[in-house]
Amino acid sequence: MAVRVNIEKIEDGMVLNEPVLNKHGQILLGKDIELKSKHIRILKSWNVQFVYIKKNDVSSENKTVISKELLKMAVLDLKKIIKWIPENKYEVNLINACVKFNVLKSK
Amino acid sequence: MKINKNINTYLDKIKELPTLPTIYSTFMDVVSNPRSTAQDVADVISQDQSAASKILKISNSSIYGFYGRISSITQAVSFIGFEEVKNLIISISIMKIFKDSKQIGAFNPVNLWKHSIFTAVATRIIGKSSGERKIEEFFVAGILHQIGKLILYKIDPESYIKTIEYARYNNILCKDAEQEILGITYTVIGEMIAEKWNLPASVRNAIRYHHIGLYEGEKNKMVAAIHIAKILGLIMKINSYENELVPKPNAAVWEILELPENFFEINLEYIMQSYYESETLLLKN
Repeated sequence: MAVRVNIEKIEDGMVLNEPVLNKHGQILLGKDIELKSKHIRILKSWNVQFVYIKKNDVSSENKTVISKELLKMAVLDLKKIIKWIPENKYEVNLINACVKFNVLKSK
Repeated sequence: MKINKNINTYLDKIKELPTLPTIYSTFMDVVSNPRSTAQDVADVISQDQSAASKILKISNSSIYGFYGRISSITQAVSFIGFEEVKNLIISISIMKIFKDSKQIGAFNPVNLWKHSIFTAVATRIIGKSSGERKIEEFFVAGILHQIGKLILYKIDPESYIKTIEYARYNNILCKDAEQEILGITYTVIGEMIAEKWNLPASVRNAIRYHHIGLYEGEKNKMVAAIHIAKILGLIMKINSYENELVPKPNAAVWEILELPENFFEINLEYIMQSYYESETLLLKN
């Protein structure tokens, strides 16, 4: 799993989940490269705005285990404003991402 | 509870609403002249100090990603381009017209702008991920997608607040309450004002059709992206009023956008960060 990280939030040691391409599709940095400060400097000079990082490398917040109770509360809360049932993979991903984000934020 | 069924009342009131500030028309004159240089364009923008400073800040924000490397309006024009600057001027000018709208009852214009800024930021990010290359108008269309709500509020605040209270009490969509109570919806009136302001046809269509997500059955990525961005904002409770109901996405929109399956899981944090940054830049004087 990957997560999109703003160039300003990249930390030393994060690992690229996908190669960084320029607008012509040429590879600037390959997949699985462990980012060092020199890479970050170069990415900035190329005006790269974000990169996809392997999720395990994203700082502690995303590693937090979410309790079932909190998840249940977040889902119940959303049911007040969502009166439809997710019917496809996109809608499921949309709702799950929002629930997860809100639970992590409330911690 | 029907308040107004006469559409002509709204048409008359729209005529009385302000036109876009001079900076916009002067800017358009300069841009349409093929001999104009980035410096000429910068000179026009610099006459409006507050617009100039906002454009500078936004150019350096994560929306465009220049992070402090743009230090003058001339640079902003050359780096992000005439089209992007034009769309930022439209957004800033229109926000300025409504800056004095005050909160009454359940309706807070500041919350409406927050929802619009969120939609603008998310529309742009969704648009890029959907592979669309021409995304210059995505931001301004997101900012303006519910301008009609502000117009309805400005024309008759009391009736509009009653409409929102009706929507909340009956747990229905705002647009449906508008149709039932006022006899007109924010999407229709939004298109009217966009016409009065001579905004590009693509932006007018986005204002009119974003709630469906399709424009006359066409595969229009901008209309589709706003549709999803707006729904995302409402789920995140960045809404115009408390407990605003979330419409169901139009299934056809997903096929138009062709986003990765896990798009929201991967991008939500990035969208939220970009939104907080833009909200501070655009709403602070």
